[in-house]
Amino acid sequence: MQASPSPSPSSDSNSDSAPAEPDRAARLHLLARATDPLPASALEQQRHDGIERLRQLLETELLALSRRASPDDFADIYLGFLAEIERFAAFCAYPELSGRALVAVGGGFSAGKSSLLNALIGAHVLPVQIDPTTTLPAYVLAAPTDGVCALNLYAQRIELSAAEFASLTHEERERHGTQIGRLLQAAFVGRSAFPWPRLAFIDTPGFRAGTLGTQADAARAQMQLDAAQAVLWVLPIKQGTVPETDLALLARLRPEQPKLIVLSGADLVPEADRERIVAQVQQVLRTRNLAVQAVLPVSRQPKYRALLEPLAAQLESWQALAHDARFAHRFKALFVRYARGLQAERQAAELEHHHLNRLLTLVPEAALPDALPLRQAADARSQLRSAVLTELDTLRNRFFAELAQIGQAVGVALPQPHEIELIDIGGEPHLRALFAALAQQPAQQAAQQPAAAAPASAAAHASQLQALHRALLTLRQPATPTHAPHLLRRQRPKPTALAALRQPTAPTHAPRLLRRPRPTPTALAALRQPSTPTHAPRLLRRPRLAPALSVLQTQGAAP
Amino acid sequence: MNLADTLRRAADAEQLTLHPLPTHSLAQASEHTRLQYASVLAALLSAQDAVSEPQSRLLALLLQALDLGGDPRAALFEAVRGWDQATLCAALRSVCDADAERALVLDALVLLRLDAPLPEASAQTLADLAAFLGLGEPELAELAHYAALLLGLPTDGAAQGPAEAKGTAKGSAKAGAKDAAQATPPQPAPQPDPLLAELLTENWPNLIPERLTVDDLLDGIEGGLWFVDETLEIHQPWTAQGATFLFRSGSTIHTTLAQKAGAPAAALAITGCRFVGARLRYTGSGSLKVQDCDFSGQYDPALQASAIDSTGVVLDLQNSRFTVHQARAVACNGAALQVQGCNFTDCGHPELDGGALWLGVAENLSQQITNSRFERCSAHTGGALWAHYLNQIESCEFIDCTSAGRKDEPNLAVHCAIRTKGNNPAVSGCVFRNSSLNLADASYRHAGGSTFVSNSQFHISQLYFYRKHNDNTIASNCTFNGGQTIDHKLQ
Repeated sequence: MQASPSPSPSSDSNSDSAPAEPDRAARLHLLARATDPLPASALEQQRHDGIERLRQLLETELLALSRRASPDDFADIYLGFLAEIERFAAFCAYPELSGRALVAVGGGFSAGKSSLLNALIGAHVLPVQIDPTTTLPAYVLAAPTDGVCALNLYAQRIELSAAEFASLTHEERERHGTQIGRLLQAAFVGRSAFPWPRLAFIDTPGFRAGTLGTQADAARAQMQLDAAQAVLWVLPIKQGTVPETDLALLARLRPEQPKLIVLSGADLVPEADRERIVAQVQQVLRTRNLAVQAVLPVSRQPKYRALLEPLAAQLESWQALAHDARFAHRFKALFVRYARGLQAERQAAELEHHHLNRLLTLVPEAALPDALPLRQAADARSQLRSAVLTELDTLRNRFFAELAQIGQAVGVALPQPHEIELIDIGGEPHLRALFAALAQQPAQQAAQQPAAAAPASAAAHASQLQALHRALLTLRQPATPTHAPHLLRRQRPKPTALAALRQPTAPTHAPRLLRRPRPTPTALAALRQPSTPTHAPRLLRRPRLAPALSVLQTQGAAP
Repeated sequence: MNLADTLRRAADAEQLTLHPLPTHSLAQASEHTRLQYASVLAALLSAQDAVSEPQSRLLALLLQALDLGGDPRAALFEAVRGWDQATLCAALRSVCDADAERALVLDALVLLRLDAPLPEASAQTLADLAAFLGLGEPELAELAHYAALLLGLPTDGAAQGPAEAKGTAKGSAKAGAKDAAQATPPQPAPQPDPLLAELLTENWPNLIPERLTVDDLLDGIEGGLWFVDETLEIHQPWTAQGATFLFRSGSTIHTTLAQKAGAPAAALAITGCRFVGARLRYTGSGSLKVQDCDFSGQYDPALQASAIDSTGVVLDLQNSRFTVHQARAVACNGAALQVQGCNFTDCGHPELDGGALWLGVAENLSQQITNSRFERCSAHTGGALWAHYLNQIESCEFIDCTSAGRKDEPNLAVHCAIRTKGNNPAVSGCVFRNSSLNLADASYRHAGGSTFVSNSQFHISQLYFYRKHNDNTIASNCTFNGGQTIDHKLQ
């Protein structure tokens, strides 16, 4: 969520200030609701049971399958399932979302996302001080009446007052002694003044490079951004360009997803600079293969309200986007990722079997008893992967059947299991798909291809690719990144060249260069030594007579 | 956006125009071909998760080297988003038609490995590309090795340099791939070759190293970066122009020229070439003209090598530079020689005579050295020059040349017998600095009143002269500063 450097949180239109003193009873009441496992209605019970069944499928059957055979990245796949289930639960708890195109508002920590939403809607909808590491994504959408509800620890819907919602800031622990914001799964902010009835915004967590939780926040933001139908990416215009962290996240978004880059704080730079920065950001995006619909400078200041108009017009056009929440896509992508991992392992086992077959023809008969078990082990690995793939397919069908059933119950549109095959999950690198398609062309077409040597068979082609893959070993070794400055024309003198000037020394201020010669302090050392004050009686012509009179001062008997 | 940041960005962008990459090998191809080539590079970059800033910058440099002005990066990325099988196939066909498969793969490897080790997806895409272009595993490994050298990466993997590169001469890439596929498994290379890395960096993306064969020499070499990894025996004249040759493992090009009766003498020419560690040996008859060339290298002292070694082949060396450590620059035996406008620096071997030039017996043949400079050359005797007979040394400069075998005169630069032609002095207009001259009168007959050295300067340098006749003048109009003429009478 968004956080700004200002120390005091602002709140929504119903409450101008957060509670000044912790109200123990109110906090306990909120805590009780945040941890209440009991569904409020029969429908909610049905939804809750359905989601639990989905969880069971994953936690028992999928994990059981994984213990038999799973790719190296299974942990990521499993965590992806859990996160997606959580998002699905949020949609089921608030089915109004499913009728709207989801616009994700992304950007770095303190980029101005919440402020932008407040400015767009014309009201203080979101607190601009929510902990950037919170797990609480906030959906903002049109509703008959203003109100906020949230999904509690057990995915139950609870109502929040404006003050309670506003208290879920990064200062919650300091102000109230609680961290209820971390127990909640999502917040839904309904506003009657929301101008786009067929859109819903989701304010994704911000992230900040170099802080704890960055990867988790980035992953969460990534999931929410990917699931959205369109993306508003917010950058502070004062940065003057797009940071690498933002570019990396933008690059991972689906290419077909409409995206707008919003430069917040446009009032903070002169108009000429504004245009220059817009042009520069466009140039950076274009030369980094990132297609966006527009780069728009905006400001929340009323004086610059005209700057919001192009953005509002664009949002108006996004109302026509499809409303698919992409649950089926994302669950299918996770199943496919698991299946592809197994297929790759099966392919490796089959290749090993193929190589062993060739070797066995050369092995003396006496050595066969030693060699055959190796081939049997490769066979066993291949067969196990095939069996797990079949069971994974069955599990996937059951999962999607359950998913469709829950969706039907709560009013979230989802495809039926038999439609799952038709869903294009994307993600396959375009170029690889083209090469794969070209490699499978019929022989006469392949003969017209540049490479005259078309592979004899699919197995031979796979073997050839593996050999070529091996040839790139040199470039796959981890090495200190150099970024080849000589190639990039960025050769700079070594920092050691300036070492002499970087040594801490006593400041001299170069008096000789500045024509301020001063005698060295030691020259006056003789005059600075503490000594008995003499007052130079000889110079002052004040010879002391005291010694001369000392004779008279001695005590003695009078003559 | 502060001013310092703006200035840093502007300076960074300016470097692109101030220090562009060398012209791309495909820069002379049609615009369509160049665009297709660039599009494939853009497509390969697009296939990654993200295009990094260094990758985008290097792509800009490559497009500039391809003479595609106006920064078409954005347009290329936009175009490749809509590619299908047909457009990809057409683009690759254009690359193949231009015989630029290896250049494409090398450029792609450098681009994709610029930031981090190749991820699995990129490696698979590159394998797909190489398979489609008909490149075999050894050839791809060779290109990966070059890419690693270019990027300053360690090369201790399975990939190898030219040792396993087979048949990669011009126009034979596909045949080479077939040969290479049957080659023995590559041996690991323990260390990157700094010399090769330097040559590659200088030349990429203009050139890809190729292995020199006798057939290539017979075809005539025009440009390119060539490896000579084994001794090549050739019996016909050959020429080279604008090429760079890297000789390794003490390899030699031995050219034997036999003049047939009635046929004109063979004339060889090498122009504008760079030789590293070269050993060019010529025997027989004919002539060799070396012009505007650069010879350098750190030779194995055990080889006692000469960069150019001629027996019977007339040498004409013009405007060339020799910096051959632990080797003699030129040996010429039984043939005429002309050296004009050449620089010899740090040449010579402590056990060989004549660090820069060794001239054997050449009866009645002209041997002249003019407008040349010999600096820090060293040898056993005659740090710069050792000659049986020499006609003329004119307008040359000898600086800090030494003879390790002459304890009596360690700064001996020139040791030769010399003949005067008519009234022309044998040594004229020369400067000797810490470099002594040792001459012996080798005139056939007594001309009477000949002058051997004129208009020359000797700074801390001696002039030793072995006189045949008393009425000859050793030095006229010469200045001695810390040196003198030491006159001996030949027995």
